[in-house]
Amino acid sequence: MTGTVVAASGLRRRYADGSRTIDVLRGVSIRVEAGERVAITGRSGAGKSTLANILGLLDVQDEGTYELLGRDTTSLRARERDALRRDAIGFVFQAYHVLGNRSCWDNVHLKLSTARTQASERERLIAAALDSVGLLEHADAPARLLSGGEKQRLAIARATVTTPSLLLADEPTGNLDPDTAGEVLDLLDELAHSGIAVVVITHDRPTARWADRVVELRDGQLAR
Amino acid sequence: MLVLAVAMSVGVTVASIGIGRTAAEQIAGDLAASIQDQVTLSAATGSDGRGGDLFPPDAEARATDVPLVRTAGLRVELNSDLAPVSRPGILNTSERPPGVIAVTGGYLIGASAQSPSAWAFSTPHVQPVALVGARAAERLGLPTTSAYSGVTIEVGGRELQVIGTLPPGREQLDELVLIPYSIGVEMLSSDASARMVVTTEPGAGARVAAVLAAAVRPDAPTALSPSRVVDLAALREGVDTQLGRLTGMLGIVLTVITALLIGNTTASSVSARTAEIGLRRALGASSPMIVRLFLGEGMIVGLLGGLVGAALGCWLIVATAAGFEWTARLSPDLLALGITLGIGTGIIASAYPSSRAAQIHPAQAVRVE
Repeated sequence: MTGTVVAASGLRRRYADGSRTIDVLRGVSIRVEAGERVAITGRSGAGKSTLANILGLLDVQDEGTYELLGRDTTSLRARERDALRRDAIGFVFQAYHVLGNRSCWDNVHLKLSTARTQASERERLIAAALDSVGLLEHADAPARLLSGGEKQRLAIARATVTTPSLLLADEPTGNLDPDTAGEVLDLLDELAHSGIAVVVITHDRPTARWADRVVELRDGQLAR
Repeated sequence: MLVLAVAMSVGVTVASIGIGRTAAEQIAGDLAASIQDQVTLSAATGSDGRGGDLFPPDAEARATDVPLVRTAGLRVELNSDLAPVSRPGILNTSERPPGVIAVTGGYLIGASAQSPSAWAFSTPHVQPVALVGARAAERLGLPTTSAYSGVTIEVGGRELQVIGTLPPGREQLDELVLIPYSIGVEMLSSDASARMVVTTEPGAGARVAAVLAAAVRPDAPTALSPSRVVDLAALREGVDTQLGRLTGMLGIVLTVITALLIGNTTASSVSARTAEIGLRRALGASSPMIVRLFLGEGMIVGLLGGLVGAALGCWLIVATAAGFEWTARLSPDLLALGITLGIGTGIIASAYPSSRAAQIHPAQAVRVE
């Protein structure tokens, strides 16, 4: 995969807080190429998560333009946004958000359940995704029995089973010890090398140093 | 637990409706058996009998020719002024003399009263005789024996030989003196106030009533009017409706309680699964998919509860019917009702929580607490 994955310009997002309005993002522009590793850093309240939500099509900016894989997302209808999010974006969360009572297999299947993929193809994709993170042998195990690192690997398998163009990871190493965090970053490295644009939101300096490029947000604006 | 709750609710609803139907069937059947085997025919309102006798001489034979008719007989009442009753040579001490009716042999057979004596009440064998009801016999000072010899009474100045008393317990006849129909009509000079009493096969009253007047008086069927016979179907429907309302109300209350239970549980489930909903949305599920997810879960709970409930309800109907020695009335629509009720309740109760789930913002739902 080559080319520009994310091309956002002049993103503004404001929220109403009672009678006052808070400008969370104030004209942020960002561009991410395929296979690039970008770390978005900043203090709490700087607008990191808001930017990640907009890039992940979970939220819509009030102003500015956002093109994902060359498609202007502003004009998309809700259903089209849902489909584009499903096909082009993978999410990894700090809290893993795996379904503990479901098996590893089912957790990965969750991403495919909304896609129109043939059953046999689904099985191949799930097996490959679990294998890529070293969890194939735990496919039938309930996710609650996994360690923190394994859960994050499972989340990565789920995020990448549809081979997205953009992987958004919100504090992916936030709950992990350094060694396990290193393993997760290695996995993200592999994904970046395969052409996936990896955007990591992080407070963690080692994780930020891991990235090819660091984008720091300060009071809703780019600091550098 | 939720499935069990739905099952209990649906089961009781189905059972109450089924038991209501069974009870209605039973009650209607019992009533029909007791009242639907008798029809009376009398002069129609405003009819003058077209100048002649109201009932032709062969009226009884015509009536008994009608299918499903068992017996037919005529009776006419005579008032005490026209036909005072007394015993010749004996002082009448009774303050209120017994009433008098004139009847045919067919009437006596139909009333199962002194059938052996019926011949003496019918033409061409009519004799100047009388049968006396049990209490009427007491009033007249007659001995309580069935063997009378030479005992006479006077009815309307005409001496009649008492040939027997009616066994006690026949409330309608206990206080009466029965004389032959032709003698009574002779005293009245008309049969305009006469009635034909017809007994039919059980439950055939309505059908016989529909054709009886035409059979007895083909020349003037409108001269006669059958008694108002409650139609069996209408009777059953009436009882069914009343019981149906009662059980329906119970069913509605139970269904509302179940809907609230499912709704509350689904709402709790939505709250508990906020992160999962956010995750599904982040993974590409649309809002309608989230609605369908929770509606589907509600529907499955309703379906399972409905199936179990329908089975439970049918069992309760059979058990109740067996307890009362009724014939259980089961029908496929009860099963359909149970399933429909369960699914419907599940969907309706899940509708609001589902719409709430669809409105959950995925970005907020997956945020770290």
